Amino acid sequence: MNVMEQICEFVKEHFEIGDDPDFGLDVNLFDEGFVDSLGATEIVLYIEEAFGVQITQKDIILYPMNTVREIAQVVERKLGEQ
Amino acid sequence: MLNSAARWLATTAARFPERIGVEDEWGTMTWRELETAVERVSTAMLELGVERNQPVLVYLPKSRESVATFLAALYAGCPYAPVDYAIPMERLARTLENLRPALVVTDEAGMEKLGGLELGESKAVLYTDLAAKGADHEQVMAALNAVIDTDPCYVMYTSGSTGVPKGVTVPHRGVLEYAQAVVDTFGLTEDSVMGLQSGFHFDNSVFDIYGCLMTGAKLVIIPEILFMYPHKLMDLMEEKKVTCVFWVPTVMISVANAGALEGRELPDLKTIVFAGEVMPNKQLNVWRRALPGRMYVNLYGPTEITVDCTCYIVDREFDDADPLPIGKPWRGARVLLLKEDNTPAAVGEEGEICVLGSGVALGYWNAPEQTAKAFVRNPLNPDYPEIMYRTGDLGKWDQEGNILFCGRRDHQFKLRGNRIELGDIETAAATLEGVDKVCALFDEVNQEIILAVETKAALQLRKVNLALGKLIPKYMLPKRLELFEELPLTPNRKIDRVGLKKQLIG
Repeated sequence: MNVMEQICEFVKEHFEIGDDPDFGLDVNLFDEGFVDSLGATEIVLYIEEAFGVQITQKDIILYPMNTVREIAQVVERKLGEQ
Repeated sequence: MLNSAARWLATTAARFPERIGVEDEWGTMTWRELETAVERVSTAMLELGVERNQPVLVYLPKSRESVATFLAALYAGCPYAPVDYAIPMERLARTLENLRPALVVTDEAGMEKLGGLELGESKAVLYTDLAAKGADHEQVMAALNAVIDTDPCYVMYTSGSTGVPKGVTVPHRGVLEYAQAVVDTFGLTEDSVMGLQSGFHFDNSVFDIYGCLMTGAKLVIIPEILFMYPHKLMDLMEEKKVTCVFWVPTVMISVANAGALEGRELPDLKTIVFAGEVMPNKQLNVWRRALPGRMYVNLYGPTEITVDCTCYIVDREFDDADPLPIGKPWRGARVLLLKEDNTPAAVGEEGEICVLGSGVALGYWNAPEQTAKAFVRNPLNPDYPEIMYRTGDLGKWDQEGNILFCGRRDHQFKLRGNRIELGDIETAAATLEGVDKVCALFDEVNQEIILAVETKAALQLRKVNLALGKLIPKYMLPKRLELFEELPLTPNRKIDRVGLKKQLIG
């Protein structure tokens, strides 16, 4: 599984999204109500742990992390910097 | 006394021209840069023909440009009306209808959204255009000198029970006196750093803006996104060496619950103030144990009395189940607790919290009936005119002369610091397709909104919220949706709120 697939699996399972047809890689997880605001921290804790990256407050401010694709891009960028 | 709350800008810019005044996620402004921007924008506003006391609606992201626009409006002799940049269009339309501003100041994206709205006589302008022109210092000073301290300083919109937001209109004298009390009580100086949490459409921001303006303290506008990530939020607090915060309890709670204080010293953070809703002792104790020796302060007050009217400096440990007092009347405010028959409540008796003093707002913008209902003559002093604001909140005096908060008289409540009327949610929900009848309830224990709907359709919470989100702010969206073939009724055919609440919450 690549980074994006792995994050997608986590989000679907952790937030009990199942096979909702409205869900997708580019759907805004927060605006569309799939993840509530508390879930944001859970996603960051997961990616920091699973991929061994450190997401800083500057990353959070600079890069949007609203969709699975955007989250994956941040992780890829951090992995590239290491 | 000064005539305008914006007066402090010139003094502070002269004392600390090169120090950073305002900082946001995109950059910084020194006090001199802020003053220059304010004079330019103000000049452009006057050239567009704004007149004293005509409101300016500010529809900008939470940024240093917002602060510059507020002060520019004040320099031109106009009150500012900040709205949330994420405001649903329907709500913005209602706000414009009520406010009828002379100007709407926005950015490119905002301008595009405004294209679909009826603006009437109001002119929509870009901040960048206003700031690009030269300043006419004398013209601006003449406008500023014409202001008197009873002129409106800002108009802030709160939830109204019929779905029409109410514009609380606060005069300069309230802000002047409030800022002085903030600076004296919390010891702000030019070396202080304020970490601003509040949106500008929420009057807690008055503490931060004018506390800094008066003293030359640095205003750090915390990026909104960080409030979703408590650990990163506290990283920023360390990095920026924030000394004082005025936050809503919801944020304090999320920081405590996330464990974001563990292993942190935050040596610069000296003063932690909260208001806007009830602060639970459980999380307050997490803060007090993690960061001992700091000043913790519980403030209370509705927008209608200029931010806050009672103050409690936490001086001891409270058990989780104990009530945390909202304290004693503070600054120029006088507080009465009145029973149903308008007589004062004795110690331990519940009464409605009623406020008098120079902080009392002028009223609701363009809403004389609502103003007359809430801003009344003091019934204990019937022979002389004295305006009193009835908060609708209940409280009681304890033995030490502190007030304990006891909830609301009506269907209003606070969630994440936001004031919400259930009627506001119901009015919006009733317009949705498939909704035949609706009742909104607030679950105090779980701190969430429940929407009970009479319908024949198979409505889903997520989809209902997508539609509702176009009508009302996000913080008003329900967490639970309950579908009914028929909502229960009382004997006189009204929706049985009490029965429904028992059935759904227990």
